[in-house]
Amino acid sequence: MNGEIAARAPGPPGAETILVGLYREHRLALVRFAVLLVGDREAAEDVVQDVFSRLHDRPPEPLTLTYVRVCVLNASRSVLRRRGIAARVMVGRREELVDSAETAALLGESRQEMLAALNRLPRRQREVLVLRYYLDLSHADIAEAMRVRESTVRSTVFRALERLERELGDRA
Amino acid sequence: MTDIEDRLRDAMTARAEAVRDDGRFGTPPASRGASPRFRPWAPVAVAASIAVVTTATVVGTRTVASPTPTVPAVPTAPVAQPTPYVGPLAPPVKQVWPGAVHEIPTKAPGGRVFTPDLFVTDRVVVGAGLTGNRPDGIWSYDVDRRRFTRIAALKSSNASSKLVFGDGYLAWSTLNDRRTEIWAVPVTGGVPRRIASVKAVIIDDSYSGIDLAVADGTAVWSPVDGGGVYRAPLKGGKASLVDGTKGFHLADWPWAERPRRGAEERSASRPVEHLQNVLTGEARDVVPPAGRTSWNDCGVTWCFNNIEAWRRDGTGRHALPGTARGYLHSGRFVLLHQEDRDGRGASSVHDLATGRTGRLFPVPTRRGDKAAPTLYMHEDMFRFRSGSGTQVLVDLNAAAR
Repeated sequence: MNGEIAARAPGPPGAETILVGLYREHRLALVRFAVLLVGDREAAEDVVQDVFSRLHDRPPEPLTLTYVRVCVLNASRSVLRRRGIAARVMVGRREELVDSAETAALLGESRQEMLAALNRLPRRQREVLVLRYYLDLSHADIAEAMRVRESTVRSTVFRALERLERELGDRA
Repeated sequence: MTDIEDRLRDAMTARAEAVRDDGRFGTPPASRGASPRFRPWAPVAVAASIAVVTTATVVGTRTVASPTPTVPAVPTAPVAQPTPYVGPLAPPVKQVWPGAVHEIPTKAPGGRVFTPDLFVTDRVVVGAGLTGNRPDGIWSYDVDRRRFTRIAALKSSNASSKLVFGDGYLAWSTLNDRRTEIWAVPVTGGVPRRIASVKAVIIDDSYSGIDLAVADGTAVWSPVDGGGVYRAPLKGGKASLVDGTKGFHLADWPWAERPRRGAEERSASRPVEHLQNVLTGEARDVVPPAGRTSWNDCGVTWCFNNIEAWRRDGTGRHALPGTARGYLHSGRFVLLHQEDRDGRGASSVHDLATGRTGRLFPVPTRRGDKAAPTLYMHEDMFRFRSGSGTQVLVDLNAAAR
């Protein structure tokens, strides 16, 4: 265990152990989740690092994978919000997120089209699709994570898929 | 599951897996201390109440969650898992099942996109022709004569789900004016005929369609959202609920299942645990091997989890030569992700009944590897693009023969 962590934030017994365990077990999965929300690896790494750095003074009870995922979701929103502000300040320039050449090559054209269309969706639609089809959460779980009604999740998923279908058609 | 959902899931999984482990393990970053700008991000009560889904993103597959609804507060020691397969990649699928693999054009006459759904014989595949992204006809393609034939024209209002086949008829469903309509046409050609129109199960403006089959001179179906097996005669007549099927979902006629495969509920970690023959009343419940309490999917004969398979009665347990993904196809095939000792990967199809495995295509595992095509998985057929203007079809029913 990192001595600095222990010295600064001893916390209740067990909290640090849980945090270290979560980090070791799930850091990669959380970065992957964040990549789908913010669009690039660097920002995703930052989001996950940031979340863990803020969890040291938490009691152990809420420190579950589910809790950390919600933290990552909300931290990703902050990143996107900051990007939105930056884009408005830099009038006329819209930030385009592009994958590295290597990643693009790995993905292939069809998947890139799908991911580009996903990135063009409004934030809430993009989030529900990632939670639904990447993390495989149920509508009820998504509703709780996003603090919206389950019916809202269902209709948001429906509209988001409809929009993707419209945009992509049969371009497989 | 619709095409767009399949493609979305595939694209997201591929993008996520492009983030490789950089080996930065160890401890989480140091605390920033109590910053005055810090605002709590997650409501504790809300987060704690969310049921946990154990999605094994490392292998990018759906992992069946424990029936336990919440995660333990303190991580316990890692549970001992059987070792996932690392070994030689399977030989090419064409080599394993030469009579079941066909390369065909992606375009039908008139420049239409041809999206095949299923084989109606070993040599003839049937699917929709699309113009401007809209299905405008049902077409067949003969892999021997290498010729397309139009079976029926479709109006945009009666084009919807994938095709199913039985008793010489092709059938499909549509959503029209909040009603599920079931249409059929002889595979030899003709004008589509509406054989049933029933109130659609629409929940919160979301319509999930029906699971449909043709058998015994009837169309049989279950709404995806909702239970019960219904049927209507192909030659016309009233739709009716099949006796004793309330709470069950159409599996492989005459079998009905519970819980439905692919059900959203987190409790569905034992999909298709109960099967009932709707004609005879015979029940077949899963008897898992010792120590196995959940699985990815079960058919009438086979069950599997990520790394092993067994018969429904618990016998015949064996390790899979790769990591299984998705559901059972044709009752006995599973898609595997294989990796060899040199780190090369492949998507392969594996026959649980014979133990034979055929490689579909390599999948990228390292920078510079060629991108894998999108794989479309139908009930009885896999397909993927093989090049400009061609697609490869794997007829699983033929592979089973």
